[in-house]
Amino acid sequence: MTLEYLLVDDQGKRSRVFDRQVSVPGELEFTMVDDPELLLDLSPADLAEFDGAIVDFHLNTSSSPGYRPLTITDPALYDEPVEVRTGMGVMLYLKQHAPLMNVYGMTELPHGHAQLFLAAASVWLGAEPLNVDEPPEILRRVLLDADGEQAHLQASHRKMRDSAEPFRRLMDSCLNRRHLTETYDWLRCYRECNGPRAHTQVPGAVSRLLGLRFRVDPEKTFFPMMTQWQNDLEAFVRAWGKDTSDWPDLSAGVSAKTWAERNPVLDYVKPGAYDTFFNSRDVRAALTYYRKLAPEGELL
Amino acid sequence: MSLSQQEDRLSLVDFLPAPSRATNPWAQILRDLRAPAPMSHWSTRVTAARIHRHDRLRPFATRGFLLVVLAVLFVLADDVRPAAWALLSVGVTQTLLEIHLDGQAHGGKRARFTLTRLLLAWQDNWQWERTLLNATGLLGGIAVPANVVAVLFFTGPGRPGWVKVAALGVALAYANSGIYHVLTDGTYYSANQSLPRILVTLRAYGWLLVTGVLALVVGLSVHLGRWHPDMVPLAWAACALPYAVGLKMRDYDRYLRASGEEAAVAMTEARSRLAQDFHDTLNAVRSLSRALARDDSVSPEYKIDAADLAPKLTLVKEIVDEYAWEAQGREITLEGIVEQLGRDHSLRVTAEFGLGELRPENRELVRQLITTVVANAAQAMARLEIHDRPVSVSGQISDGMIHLSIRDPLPLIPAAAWCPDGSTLAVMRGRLRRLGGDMTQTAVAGGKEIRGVWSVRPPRLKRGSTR
Repeated sequence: MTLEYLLVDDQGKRSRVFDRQVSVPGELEFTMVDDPELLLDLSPADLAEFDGAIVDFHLNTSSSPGYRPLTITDPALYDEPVEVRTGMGVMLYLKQHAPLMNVYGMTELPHGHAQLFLAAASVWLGAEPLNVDEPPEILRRVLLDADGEQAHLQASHRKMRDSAEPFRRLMDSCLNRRHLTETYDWLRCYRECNGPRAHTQVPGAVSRLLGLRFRVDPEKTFFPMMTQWQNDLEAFVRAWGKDTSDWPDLSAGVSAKTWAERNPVLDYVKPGAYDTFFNSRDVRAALTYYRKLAPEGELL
Repeated sequence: MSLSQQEDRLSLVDFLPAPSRATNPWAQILRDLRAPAPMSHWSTRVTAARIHRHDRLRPFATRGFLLVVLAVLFVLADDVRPAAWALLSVGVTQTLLEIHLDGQAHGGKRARFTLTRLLLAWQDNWQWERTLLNATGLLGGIAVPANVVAVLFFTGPGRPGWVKVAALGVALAYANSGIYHVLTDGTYYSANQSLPRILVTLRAYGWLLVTGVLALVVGLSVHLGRWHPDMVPLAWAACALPYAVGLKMRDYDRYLRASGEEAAVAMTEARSRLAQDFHDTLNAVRSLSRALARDDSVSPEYKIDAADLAPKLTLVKEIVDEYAWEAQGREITLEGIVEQLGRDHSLRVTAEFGLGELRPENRELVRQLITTVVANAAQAMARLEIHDRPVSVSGQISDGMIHLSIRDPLPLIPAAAWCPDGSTLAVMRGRLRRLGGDMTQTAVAGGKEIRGVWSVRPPRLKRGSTR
């Protein structure tokens, strides 16, 4: 029986090369989708006929007013329909309409900015990574397993697996806070701040981006939070093989001075490559899904 | 929560201050006198860096020095009432607190005193992008008039009274420093400010207001006989000193505007260097892709992809102008591709497109169809030595179909050579047919037209649709 995967990727050249190199006529085939909006063609029953989906994170969907994006609708979770703009949105859509489908996050290892996407897809939506730079033979063996349990055959899989737990700790580190409980939201605001005392701008960014106004005490709120973030992020990037020996030492306590010269958390989340991760509604929607609906035990 | 797809795009308009230069340089002088603070991310960042990295203790040390001079002058002056010393103590308290809190805020350990911790927390929590209100600032708001009042009403008049004139000058220098730093604080330059509108509007006229108030109190002190008659003209002359506040503030605003304009140029220059480095680094890839595109041992699918790559690598220069790059959806334009093909093959190619925004697959198909057909035509035209005759490309959408046509001065391709198996043309035609279209050739006056037509929306997805 032929296994058939949806290949959701806006880069046709990469998809076609992947198709030519990995597909096996009569055994393993791919249906290429360059725009998530095309998934509207498939009813949940049609979707369920596919054996899995391989999804790129950056989909570069149209921003023109005439574009009618795929949307995720769930009044229990979201106040309004969420537009699918990234691969996270596609995975969430598939989770909603074909919950048993094997989903792979497509990546190329040289792209460092894919780390957060891969970890989020894994922890929040239970997706496995698929590194298209792996030898075609390995990719074939991974995808020919209908149960989706051979992702570990990829040499790069260990890094992804090891980074998942620090990512989960990082994203859960603010759950006990009163006003804003998601690290994702804090970091989204924090990355808008600049300068040696960037933390003093966080309340302004929270007010501007999230419409929330509350007091942020540097000693009681920010410093413990920053310490936790740095520790978890350090474990996360180390899993990906990054050297963190020049990061500020937190063992002797922290103050504003600790991050005045070097702020590794801000340095990590600030680059434009992470704009899409922190500013896309469908990524935030995936987190909401994880918090509210992800079945216990299904995810990592 | 407001999450927007477009928020992540760097907007130079938000990043850099809008230029507000008048075409007439005389009008510019008048405009500068009433211009608001240049509000932008750039101004906010430069101002924050100035305050936190470059100024640090400078304004407090300056004011501390002025207070010492003022105290010495009070010692030298005649008839200094105790109230003058009491009023002077406000500035002393503010200056000492500023220096102490700066050390605490940037140091490792915090004071144990509750009051200091309270003030420090207030200082730390000060949301300077939104409001001017902070702990030491409030004290400064009292210290500035307190010093002036102390000199005007609680010293002298003295004989001959020059000490009082000097003291007024020093008190006004203190006031200038305090007011200038408030008027050039990051709050005024931030788009996140929540200042009363009147405060923002009056900023440009702050120096004038201060001058007016100062003239009133100096007049009152003269009226009350607090000045030696010989010194009264000098007392009135001192009222001109707050002009320096406006002067320095406008200077700073102009530096920000000028640096903003230059930052835009410097950013474009940096992007240009980056694009050039990118282009140079990938030049070997470009050469390889051209070689692959011409190598008949390479499968036609790879030949098409390789031919498509070369002009894209050459055209990374389109990325240099960020405004234009954003406007064209961060994609190399079809017009650019056609022009580059003309340069690459020494052809006179014209293009006319009415395709609007296309889905990634359609955009790529249009590009690859043009590249494949024009490259084939160029080779044939070169062989016939007619490469100086025009080639035209046009594309439009009608009835849900994309129509792309390429006219060249060549005769029809013989039936046996039209899309033979294993050719790039056959691969392109196959892709169009899978999308509900076709590729055909027809004779036209002066040559032929190759026309590709396919559906904007691909056939309905379903399992097995690839087979």
